[in-house]
Amino acid sequence: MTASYKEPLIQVRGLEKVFRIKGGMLEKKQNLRAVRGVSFDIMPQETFGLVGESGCGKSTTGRLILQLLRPTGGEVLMEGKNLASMKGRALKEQRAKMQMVFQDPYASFDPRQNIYSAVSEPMVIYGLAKTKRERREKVAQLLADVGLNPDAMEKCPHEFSGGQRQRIGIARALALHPQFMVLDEPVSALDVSIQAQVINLLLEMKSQYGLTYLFISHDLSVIKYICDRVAVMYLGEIIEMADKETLFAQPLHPYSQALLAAAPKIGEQRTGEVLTGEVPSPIRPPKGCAFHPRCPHARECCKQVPPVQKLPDGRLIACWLYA
Amino acid sequence: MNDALLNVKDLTITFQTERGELTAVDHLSFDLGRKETLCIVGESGSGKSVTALSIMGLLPQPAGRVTNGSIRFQGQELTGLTNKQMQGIRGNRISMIFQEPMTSLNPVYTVGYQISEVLKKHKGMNTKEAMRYAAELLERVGIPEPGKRVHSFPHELSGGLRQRVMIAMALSCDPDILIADEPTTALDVTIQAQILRLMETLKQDLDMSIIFITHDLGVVSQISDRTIVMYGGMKMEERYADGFFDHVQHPYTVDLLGCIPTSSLSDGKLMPIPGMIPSLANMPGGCRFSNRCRRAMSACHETIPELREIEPGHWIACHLEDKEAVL
Amino acid sequence: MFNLLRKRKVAIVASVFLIAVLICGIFAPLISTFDPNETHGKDRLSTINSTYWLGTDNYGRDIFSRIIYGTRMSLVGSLGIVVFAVVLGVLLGVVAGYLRSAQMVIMRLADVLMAFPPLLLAMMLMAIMGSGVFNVVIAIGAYYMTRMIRIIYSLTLKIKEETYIEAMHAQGASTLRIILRHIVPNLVSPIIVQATFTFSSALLQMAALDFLGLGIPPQYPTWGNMLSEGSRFMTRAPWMVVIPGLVIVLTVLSINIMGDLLRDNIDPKFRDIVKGT
Repeated sequence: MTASYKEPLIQVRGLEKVFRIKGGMLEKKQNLRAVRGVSFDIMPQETFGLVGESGCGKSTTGRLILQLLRPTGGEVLMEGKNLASMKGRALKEQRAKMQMVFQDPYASFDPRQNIYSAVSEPMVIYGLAKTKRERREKVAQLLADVGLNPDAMEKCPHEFSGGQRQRIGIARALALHPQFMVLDEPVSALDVSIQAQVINLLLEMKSQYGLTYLFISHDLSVIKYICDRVAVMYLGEIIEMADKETLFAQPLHPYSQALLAAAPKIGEQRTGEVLTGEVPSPIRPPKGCAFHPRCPHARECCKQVPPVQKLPDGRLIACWLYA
Repeated sequence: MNDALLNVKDLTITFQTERGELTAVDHLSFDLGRKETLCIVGESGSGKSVTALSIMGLLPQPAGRVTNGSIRFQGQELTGLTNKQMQGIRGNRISMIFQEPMTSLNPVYTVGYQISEVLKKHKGMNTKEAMRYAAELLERVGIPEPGKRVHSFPHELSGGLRQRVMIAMALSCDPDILIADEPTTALDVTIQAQILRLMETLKQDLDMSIIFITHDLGVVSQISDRTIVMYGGMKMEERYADGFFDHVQHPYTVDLLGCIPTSSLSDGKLMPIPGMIPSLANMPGGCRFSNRCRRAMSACHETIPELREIEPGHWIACHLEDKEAVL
Repeated sequence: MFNLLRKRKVAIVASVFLIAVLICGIFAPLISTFDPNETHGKDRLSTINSTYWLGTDNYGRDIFSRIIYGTRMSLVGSLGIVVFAVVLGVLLGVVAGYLRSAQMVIMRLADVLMAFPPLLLAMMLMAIMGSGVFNVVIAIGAYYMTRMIRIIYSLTLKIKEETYIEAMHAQGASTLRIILRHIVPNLVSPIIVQATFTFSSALLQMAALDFLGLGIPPQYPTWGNMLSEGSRFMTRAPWMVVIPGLVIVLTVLSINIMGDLLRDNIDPKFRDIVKGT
């Protein structure tokens, strides 16, 4: 799927985001570096996974790509055009090609809109379907695609369960027939038996609409199930990136190893060491390798920034152990 | 099972709502032995959290009430106790920790102060002793620099540290039972692993029993001695033995496992359970899972299956086990 | 609304009273027994009797009829103030909350106006603009407008952070569309609650301004003007003060009871902000 002769759909180059945040009442404003020089490519029709713990910058990265947040550095290219420098009409036109599905299916709908107006609103914005009848037909079609009864149109979001709302969220994102979708923890808020339904739906929609996904999650097993390639993030940086098979068969970065070991597995008692300590504050990230204060293999050289290495199996890794 | 620490028998909990009286937990029975970790697993609406609250006597008032059954703690009946009598047990003999530690800590007091309040109340310590013991407790739950941390406010701590503080507070009176309601759900996996390990260690050190409420089957397989699977307010399956996940029998549990991607590379396609989790107001008749069950028979829609012991220490409530119903 | 009313008995009484007041205002010529400005020289300061139901004042005017006509001015004036405050307050509040560049200017301006005690501000504006019904509306409305700006501003900040607003952005919706279609509709219920309280406070403020002789010219029958005149005859004809005073108190109380009812049933997300004012 990641055939190398194709041009990447999305190219992210040295993406940076600095938030200015207020400290205490008398303190000066501080810089929170949420994303620190992230680069990757997403091939057409690929599912690219971003995995990491809270505060690692994975959701921010997704929003930076869609220009919902404007990057403070770096480029985001879609089909070769730099989105980061686009404004107004040009950006709006580009937006139609990329959509987002949010984590919280309860908060992502205007409580005053019924399902018909929520799903048809993108069509109205872009003037796609001219008449109300056309729009109703399209909405009915979209709802059927995501496995809902078209009767749902007249109802309000609060009448649906979490799983159904997530289906509606997917229908809304599909309304403009985008090429690219950012899925920000789309199943994390759902019950286990509903999660699987939504995951399968996402896979179906991907093949039906020929979509490219950026899948953001903290759940390794979901990432492994759905993604083709995976990048592991820690404190705003990608520390390891590889094909799913390569990464999950043998994670090399000590943090990837710890993350995989920490995820509880069904039918297995825990073995091995538990990672100690907590993620440091992104206001003052550790010097050099951000992971070195918690790393069991940390050495003196880890206080320098590790180079990004490309290993023979195609994986990229930022760790002194492999330099 | 008279040596059990806690006996719950035929527990039925109802909620008075605008749509009438809804049954959240229906004739639930279980025992909790000493030094045992009991995991109650279920999805939303399964009644797992409500069960925990009823043991603590913390059902939302006035809507929720225990309408049937008994909860016996070391032979003492808890269901009829007044709030005042319950206070002697709650936080003292039975403690509870919650999913979001921030909401159970008071933001305007230091954590040391909050722990020492509990100690003063239940153990009659004076302020100085209590503060010193609070620092000791923080050390025991693995908080670095406990002497400094007793003076921290809750918002100055990370989620993982706050949960440790909650555990320290719950442990302050050496309880016999610790009830943990999704204590790691809001935490990152590496922090979750730390907290689970901490609870395991504390259980061994302090001779405690744990009731662990979760939706995460992965967590269950790591810590559970006895596992109860709940759905729609009823117990579907229970196993008091190792290897729960190698021996699951109930169609709901089997299907639930089919919904979860594993982190091994060689898993097949996910098999979602069709349909939605029914709301309490319109539970299907008969077996609660009958309307989503792939193997449902006519009997499943009519009568509620009894709990049967299919092998020593393993019970399931399913008509498939009932030979007459199958025929 | 009817379900809400059934739960609170006192609210039923309040709403019945308010409906009665409204009817009095609308059908004043039919209900009143005399022309409110007609003087009856020989019946000055007469007490409550069968001809003059609520007595007469120092010019011999029928107090009942003046109260009934006063209802008109009070309701129309308060309504004017509410409309003024809501229209400008919502407009400026949403703009300040949504556009960071406008926030500084609008909010500092609001801060300046908030620094004056409301009555003093109104007196000052009246002194500048001169008397007249329209000027009273502006003078009192200016204060309530700033309060409205503050509330709408903080509510807008809150709604702006909602995921569904971000979702609208992701779909390419313009700023104007987001404000008009997604922010303002979600502000309707807090606006109604705030408007209710503004109405009752405005009614009081108008009466106070009239009482001081800075409001609506004394030839018009208003509750405030009646209080003002009555205060000079407090010992000889206490009904001249007591009756308009009672009417003001009961009206304000009833509106506030209705406001409380609405506020307690508003989206809990907004309750703190609305209550905090």
